Amino acid sequence: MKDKITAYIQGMLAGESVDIKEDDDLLSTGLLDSISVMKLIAFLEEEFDVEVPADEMVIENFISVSAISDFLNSKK
Amino acid sequence: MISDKETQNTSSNKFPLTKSQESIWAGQQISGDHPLYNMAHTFALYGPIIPATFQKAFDKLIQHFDVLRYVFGTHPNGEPYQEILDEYHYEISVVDFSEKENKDSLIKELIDEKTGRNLDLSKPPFESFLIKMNEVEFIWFLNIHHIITDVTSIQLIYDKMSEYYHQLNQGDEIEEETKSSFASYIYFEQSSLKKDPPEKSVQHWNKLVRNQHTKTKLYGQDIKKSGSESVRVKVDLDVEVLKELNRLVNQPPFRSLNPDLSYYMLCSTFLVAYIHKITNDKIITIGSPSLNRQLPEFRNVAGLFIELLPFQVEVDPYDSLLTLYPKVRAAIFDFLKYSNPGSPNSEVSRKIGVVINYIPNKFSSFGSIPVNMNWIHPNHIDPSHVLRLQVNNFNDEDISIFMDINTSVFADHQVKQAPVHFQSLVSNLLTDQNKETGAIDILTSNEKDTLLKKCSSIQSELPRQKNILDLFRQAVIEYPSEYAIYGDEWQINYKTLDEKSNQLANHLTSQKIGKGDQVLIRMKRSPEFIIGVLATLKSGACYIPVPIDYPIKRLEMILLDVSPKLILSDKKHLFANSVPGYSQIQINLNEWEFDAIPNEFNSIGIPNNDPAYIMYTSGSTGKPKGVVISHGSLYNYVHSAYDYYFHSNGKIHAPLFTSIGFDLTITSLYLPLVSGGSIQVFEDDDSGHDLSILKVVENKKVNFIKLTPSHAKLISDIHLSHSNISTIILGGENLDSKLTQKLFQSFGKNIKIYNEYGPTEATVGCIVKDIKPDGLNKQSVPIGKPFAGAKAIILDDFNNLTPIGVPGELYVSGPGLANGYWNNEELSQKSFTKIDSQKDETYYKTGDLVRINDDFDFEYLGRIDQQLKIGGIRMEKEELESVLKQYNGIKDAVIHHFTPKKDHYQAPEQYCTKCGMPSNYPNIEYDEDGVCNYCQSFETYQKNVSQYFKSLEELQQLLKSASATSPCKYDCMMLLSGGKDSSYALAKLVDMGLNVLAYTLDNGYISDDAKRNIKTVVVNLGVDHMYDTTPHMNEIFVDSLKRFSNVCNGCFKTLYTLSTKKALELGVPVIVTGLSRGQFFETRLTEELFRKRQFEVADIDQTILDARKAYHRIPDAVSKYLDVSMFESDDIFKKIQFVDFYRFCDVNLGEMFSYLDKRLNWVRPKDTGRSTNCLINDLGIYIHRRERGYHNYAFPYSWDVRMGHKDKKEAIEELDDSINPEEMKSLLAEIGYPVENEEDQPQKQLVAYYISDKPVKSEKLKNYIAQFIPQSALPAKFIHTAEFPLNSNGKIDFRMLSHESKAFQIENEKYIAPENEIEEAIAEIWQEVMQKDSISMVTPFLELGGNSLLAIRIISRINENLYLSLKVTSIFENDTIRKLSKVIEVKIEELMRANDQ
Repeated sequence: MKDKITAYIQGMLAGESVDIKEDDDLLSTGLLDSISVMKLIAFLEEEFDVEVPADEMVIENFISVSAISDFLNSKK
Repeated sequence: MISDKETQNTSSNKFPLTKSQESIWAGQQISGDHPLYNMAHTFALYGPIIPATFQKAFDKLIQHFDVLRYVFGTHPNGEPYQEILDEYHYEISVVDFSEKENKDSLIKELIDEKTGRNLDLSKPPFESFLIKMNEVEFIWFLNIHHIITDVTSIQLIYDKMSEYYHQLNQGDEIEEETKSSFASYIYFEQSSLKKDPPEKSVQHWNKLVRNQHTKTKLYGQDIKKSGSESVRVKVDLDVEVLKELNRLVNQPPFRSLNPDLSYYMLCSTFLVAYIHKITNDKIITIGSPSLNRQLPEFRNVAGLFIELLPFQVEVDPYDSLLTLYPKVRAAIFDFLKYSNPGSPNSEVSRKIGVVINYIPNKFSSFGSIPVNMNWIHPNHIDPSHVLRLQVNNFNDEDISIFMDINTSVFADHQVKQAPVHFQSLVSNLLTDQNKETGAIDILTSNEKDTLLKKCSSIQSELPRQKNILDLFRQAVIEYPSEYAIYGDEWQINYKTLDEKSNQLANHLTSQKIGKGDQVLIRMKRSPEFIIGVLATLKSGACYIPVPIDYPIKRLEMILLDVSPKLILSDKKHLFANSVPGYSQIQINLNEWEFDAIPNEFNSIGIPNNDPAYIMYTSGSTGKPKGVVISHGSLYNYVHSAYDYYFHSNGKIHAPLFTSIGFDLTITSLYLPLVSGGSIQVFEDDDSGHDLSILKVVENKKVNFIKLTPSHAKLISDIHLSHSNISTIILGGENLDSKLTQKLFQSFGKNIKIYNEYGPTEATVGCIVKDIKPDGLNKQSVPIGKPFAGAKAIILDDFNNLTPIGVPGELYVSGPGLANGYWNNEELSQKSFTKIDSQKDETYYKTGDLVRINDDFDFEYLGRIDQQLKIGGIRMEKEELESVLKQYNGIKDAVIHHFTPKKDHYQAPEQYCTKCGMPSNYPNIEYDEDGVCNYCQSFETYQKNVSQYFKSLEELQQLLKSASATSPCKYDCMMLLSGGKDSSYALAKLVDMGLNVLAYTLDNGYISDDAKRNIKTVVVNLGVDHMYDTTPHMNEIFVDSLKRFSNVCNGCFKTLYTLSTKKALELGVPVIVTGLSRGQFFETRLTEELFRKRQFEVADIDQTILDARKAYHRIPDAVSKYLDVSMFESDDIFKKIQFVDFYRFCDVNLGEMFSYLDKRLNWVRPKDTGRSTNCLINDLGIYIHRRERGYHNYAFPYSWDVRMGHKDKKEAIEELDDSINPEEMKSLLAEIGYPVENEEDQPQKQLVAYYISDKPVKSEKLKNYIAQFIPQSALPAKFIHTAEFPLNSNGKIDFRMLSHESKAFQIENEKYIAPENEIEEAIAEIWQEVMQKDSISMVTPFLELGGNSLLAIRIISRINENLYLSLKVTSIFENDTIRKLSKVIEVKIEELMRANDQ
């Protein structure tokens, strides 16, 4: 799951060159802006067949690849 | 990533503009020199600045950011381009104010001047300089055109400048780094645009456009006139409110991915709620820049990246912060999710009027020097933007909010109020997160005071110690011998009027009629009516005026409701025995019965609150409601009107020409009588078309008229400057400016025209506008200001006063208010209410939607309940209408919103007294004796018809001679359905000694009884019999139902086709049909055939034969499923003759039945419910009645009666079928005809009717309206019509309109008008025969529902009118009016040439 997420983020950011570790802060570093997070969420919903309610779109759930992965697992 | 190839392709430095750049470029072109796209900033630098180092840093800056070297130009074809200069040097000048005294004002002056100057796009469009305040304080001014920058870029440029200056200042080298290349983004966008955007994203933006209300009117202001001038005003939020805001961004449910996003979404929520409050709109669309820097490589690139995109929220007035925030959040998440570059269509951004700009820039120190940034507003904004909310978050938890307000749209007072309203709304929402938006009162108490002042009567309340009779009495004393009434027969002076009404009043008193009693007056407009009114009032009773053209049902409802003690009528309109139980007095000046009674009347004291009249108006429930008006209210209105319109001075001569049951007429009735003037009586016209207005304006005496705008339209084109009319009051309907202008033209500029508004419940008029000829710049004329002591306020759904400009419901109070509704306490309570905020006064809830405009005039916007609520959008009918009226060539337009009927059947109200033709048959008319138009015209050609029919001997001869030449053993084939007609015919043929083959088509639905009959008949007669069938009957039924709304046509054609084929195989020379004479007229014969001047039976036979040829060659289900190849050549029609038995046999029904019974044991079928023999026939009847509104047998039966083969009573009885809809539905399902679901409530439909010289294509109108109106609110149909029929109150009668225009309806898309006289003539004939009011020149005959019978009728008429001899088939060969006209043109030319020679 984490690999898929990382790969998507890299693809979205158009380059393997961006090295993303699973605990990297995606948000406050500006790596992902709000638009990117929304697109990522759309991807996650489709890919892992989950629904992310708007009020769960909060920092701690999306701060890093591992946070996202934990969050998704909790939804299943 | 960008490939090398792409880079190489543009060796030139010229690039196209990006989409966002294009829209800014276009905006700048339109606005000319206005600096609307200047992004000007000042950075106050609190430390020493070395100008040389600053210059060096700036040079580096220009090298780093390519956008600072962009220049713009246009290709010869007008396309804009941008070009990157390799090098560009910009000199940073230093303005030294260190020695100056008044620094602040000098700085402001300089900065305003620079910011207000448009940047030249042919040079790199930016300007920058330093201002030296003193040695340790400088101001850096940087102004960059939006076309090369955005908010993020400003931050990037600042940060870089700060970095460079700091490094240079420290003596460091500036390291080489990747340059900021906007050019690479241009490539990126172009390659993105080539890809199709994701489907979901396209759907999202399209849906948004559909719902977008383009004419969002903030404070009700029209945005059409918008320019770019704007001001920036600060929203003063309390410290406490800001604290709460800062707290909430980190609290659920408001916290989100980061605090900035939460600030942004919260402020957006405030804005959505605010726009809702000041527009009343439910769907709010807000534009916001999408940052659009998704690739990390663009994060540090300066340039114009942002795209302005909308998000859309549906607000409910019951939404609180807690319920609205999630809606806004969802909308913004969608907005973020779908903002792919280039995916939204450009329409999305174009319609944005309100923008939120959230700016989270952080300007930390400049190197080591502290800084203070200021964004300077250029006093212009994008002209399409009306309001922009700037939310600056420059340092954490230091939110400041500004409004950029487009001053070409907002009035001055709104510029002042807007930030106050916003501030008040925000603090309310934050203080109580559960408070409903609708319930929040955003007005300040000052504003309310002003509003209430504006809402009070411009006239002070008049003394009320008198009543209307006192005023009349005074006129009698002053002008006893002057004429008060001019009637058709009688002219009556004041003294006589007083005396006559006294006599009648005495009589009423003697009949025990007085206080507390009701007298219904049902009369024509006449002197007697006026006498009746005065007498009733004098007696102390109140009157109920009912015009003579009132529908009887309605009258009965009123009688039931009010139970009057007496009915006053005139001689002609005395009730017959229809309303027993009421005493009735008729008054007639020619036979005045009261002369014996004293002509003095001892007036009784009448308290103000006693009812004077009860006026019935239509109620929404369909039951009329009686509005009880007191003497006090009546006196108040009449006295105030005389005072307001005439300064209580001069004699008023008014026409009494509008309905007495309409309260508008009160003005014309009483103003003359209290002023010593006269009433000119124009009697009701019995014809129903009341055109007395045309006589009114020619009347020399009349100096004043009161009428509805619809009425006024009738005279607006007449030149009337010679008229004596000096004052016109218009009322009762919305008044448009066009009409008013025309009236000023007609009557000349000196005419006084007033627009008077008032519900019946507030006694005629309570708001009035004195219209000036030069003040008519709006679509509709405002209704003005309250008068006659009235107070008018506008409330929203939560009973808050709406801000000035914002629409809401009108409530009125004052001395004109009715006592209530007669006999309806519940409705009275509901409509006449007290409002908490307005102390103890009672207000009438008008149901009218109004607003106050910038002149503090009330504007009428429509009925609240007539607001079209489509897809959540509130839309005024009037708005749609006014948009339509502005279309070139459209003279007038109305919108009708209604629920279409599925079932068009209406039970007949009458039947022709001769033939029994029911009144629901299209275009049927009856004369005084109840005889229909068919019977009437039949008389004129009856002689010819009789020539068509022959004797049985002739038939015998015909059949014998045909079989003589035939080798076949059968002399003929008889089509036997098993019904009475064909059974009788078969027997008669056998009686003649013929060898007959009986042939039956089994369509799968022949009843068992009928089959039994068939068997009995053929056995009894000893003839050969055969059944034939096809597996495709169901397809044929469906096709027939679709084409003709019946099953018979399809069945008959199948029968003829199959039997012809069989006869051909067997060599049978003649096929005999058992069609009744009525059926001849239904299927073959037409009036036209017999109406000819030179009548020849042979001609008819030839015409019918031609028609048959065409009939068999029409492509339909029969030709698709059956073998019709034999009809291709004409031979078949020679080989096999068709003969109608009943052309040769004249027999009446009784004789037939007795014969059938005795000779054949034929039994009338019981299982089909009537004398037909087929179960599916019911289905045809059912569908025909639903879709066409009448019985498909009505026409043939009427001919059977006319031919003497059926009697009228029987025909009428047979038309009265009771059909079980459930059975029909399963039958429909069985044959495969689409069954509609009854449970589906039909959608309300929006239909636009318009008047213009030529019809306009629907498509064009749709596209035009779509510019102003959301797509979901577009009318479904545009109907061109000749006029708008009026009802007796002078208002538009939609029932009539839809009826009349049905004929006028056009298939707009295809409509092509006639181009020459021949086409016109032919079109007229087609239209008459096809019963359509307009047929396009190029629509094929069959598509119009043409068949051979209609072909015969059309060709016969053409031949008759143009002296031609076209064959019926020519209409199939040349199947449009245009083609047929060409042929005719050639024919006529040939004929003329022949004549010449």
